[in-house]
Amino acid sequence: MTQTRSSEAVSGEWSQETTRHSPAVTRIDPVGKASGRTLSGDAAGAARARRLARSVLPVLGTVVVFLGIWLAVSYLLLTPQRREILVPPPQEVLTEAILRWSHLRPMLRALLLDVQVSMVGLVIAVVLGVAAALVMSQAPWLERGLYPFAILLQVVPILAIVPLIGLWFDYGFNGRVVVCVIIAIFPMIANTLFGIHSVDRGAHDLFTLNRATRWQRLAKLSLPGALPSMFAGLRISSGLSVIGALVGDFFFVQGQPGLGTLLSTYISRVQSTDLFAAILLSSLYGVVVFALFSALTSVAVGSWHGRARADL
Amino acid sequence: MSPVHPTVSSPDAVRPDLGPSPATSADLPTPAPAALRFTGVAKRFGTGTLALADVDLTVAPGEFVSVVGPSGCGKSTLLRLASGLAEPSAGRIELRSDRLAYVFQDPTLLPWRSAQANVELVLELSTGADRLAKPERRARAAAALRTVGLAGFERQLPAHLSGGMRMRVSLARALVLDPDLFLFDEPFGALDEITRLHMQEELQRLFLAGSAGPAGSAMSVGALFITHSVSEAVFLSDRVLVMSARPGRIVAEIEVPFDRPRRPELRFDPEFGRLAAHVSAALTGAHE
Repeated sequence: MTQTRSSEAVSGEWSQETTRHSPAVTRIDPVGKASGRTLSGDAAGAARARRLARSVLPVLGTVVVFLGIWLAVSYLLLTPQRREILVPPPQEVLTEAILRWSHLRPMLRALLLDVQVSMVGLVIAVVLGVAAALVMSQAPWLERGLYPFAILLQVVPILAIVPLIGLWFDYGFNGRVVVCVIIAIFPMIANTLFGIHSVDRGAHDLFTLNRATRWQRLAKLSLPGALPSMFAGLRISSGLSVIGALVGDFFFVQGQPGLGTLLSTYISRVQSTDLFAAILLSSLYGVVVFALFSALTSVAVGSWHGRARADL
Repeated sequence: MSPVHPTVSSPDAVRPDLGPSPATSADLPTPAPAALRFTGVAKRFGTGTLALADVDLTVAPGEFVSVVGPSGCGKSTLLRLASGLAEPSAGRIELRSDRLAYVFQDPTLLPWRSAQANVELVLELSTGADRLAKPERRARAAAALRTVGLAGFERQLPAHLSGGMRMRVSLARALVLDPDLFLFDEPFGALDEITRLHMQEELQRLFLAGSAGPAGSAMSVGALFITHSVSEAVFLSDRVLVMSARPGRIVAEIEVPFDRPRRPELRFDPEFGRLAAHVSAALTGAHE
């Protein structure tokens, strides 16, 4: 049957499709470095430069605009005395705070603590969040019973319970991690559950017809199918975990200082340049975390899930 | 209860001279063991809608039976009932099949699995004594992909395949189970006309290849094929059943006596046209 007319015709069709699809195979990947594809020749180099320019220029542009607005607010809207306190201009933040090691050092130490707190908190939030969603996905009554508690975690007035958490755990590492988990867990639960529910019904039928066990359905269908939503949740949760660490610091003034602790000190002492430097540093950390998990998303599911690319 | 088989005989009593008749012609006595038999089957959904009313149908082993009907007449429901994905509200369904393959309307591929891994999936899912070792699973999946003409595309993700190729992967996934009965739910409905005709010929070739017999021999596996295309039904089938609009019931049964393998040119044969016109007339009647 290898030489029938129809199969010849089909092979003609394949070669067409091969050429048609080859660009897709080597298509430009937003984190192309991670995929390890190598192109050769000047054209490839030019393409790489173009790609770099496309990803860097918009960011540079935004930074320039941001600095412009900052300068404008400092110099055009405020009198010199008020400028010092309310919005010190960027070059002063640079010279008075960031370039002074005695000022920067405590901030970096605080940042290190926040990195530890937020990453431990994020890992716990991811594990607990995915586990909770998996449990809920197993039966409608479980979801109906448990989901309200997940929503409760989301809407609980965190400011009110943070002092309580300090009392229950401690004002140091553990308490701050707990705050972090509470703030970061909801997107993980909600997105994992959404991902599991949005798996194609036809695929479920396929598993039913082939008498898949509950475990096979979970491991081979629900979980991989939910991965893109889980990663979308992870990106949100990673940002929230940074906020969680800072909120913990801010309210647990005792213990080793985190960036949140420093922010509260700088506010009370009206150290505006230090305050702005600390805010910049914490924002920068948030951006780095977000970018990291976006890149991770792209590596993990980008090949088959178009919308999960790190082009946000 | 309606008559068991409201049969409409072939419009032309004189069968065109196309060689020996298929062994699975309905000339055989009906009590022969059926691969699939519906007796007075009805299906009412939870919403109260009556989707199927009093359906009787039989698919003999090795017989290719098509069901055509207006959209929304419960054709897909028929397959869901046959496969056990849904339970009938009334009537009896007998299924004598060790290995059943269901080909969905959409290719229903897992987007994170390569073509090869999608075909392997159904082998991975089987548990117990008949579960194959990984190298064997891999070999069989590769063979199935070769059969549908996708050699060289094993490692492609579905997103990098065309619609027709995805449907081929879906076919390979059905073939790899080595089924004795296929259930097709408008598998080519979403394809363009040219690909669709191609796929019909390919499908016939696959069915004939299974028997390994000389041209004109019976097909080795049975199939219940749902479609809304009259010419597709006539081209592929031994028998065409016509369903009425909701609630769906079988209103006509038309024998297709053409010998196999059927050449693409058969579609321009006057006799083919006459049969297709006959099915169309029954469909129009079913609409009223």
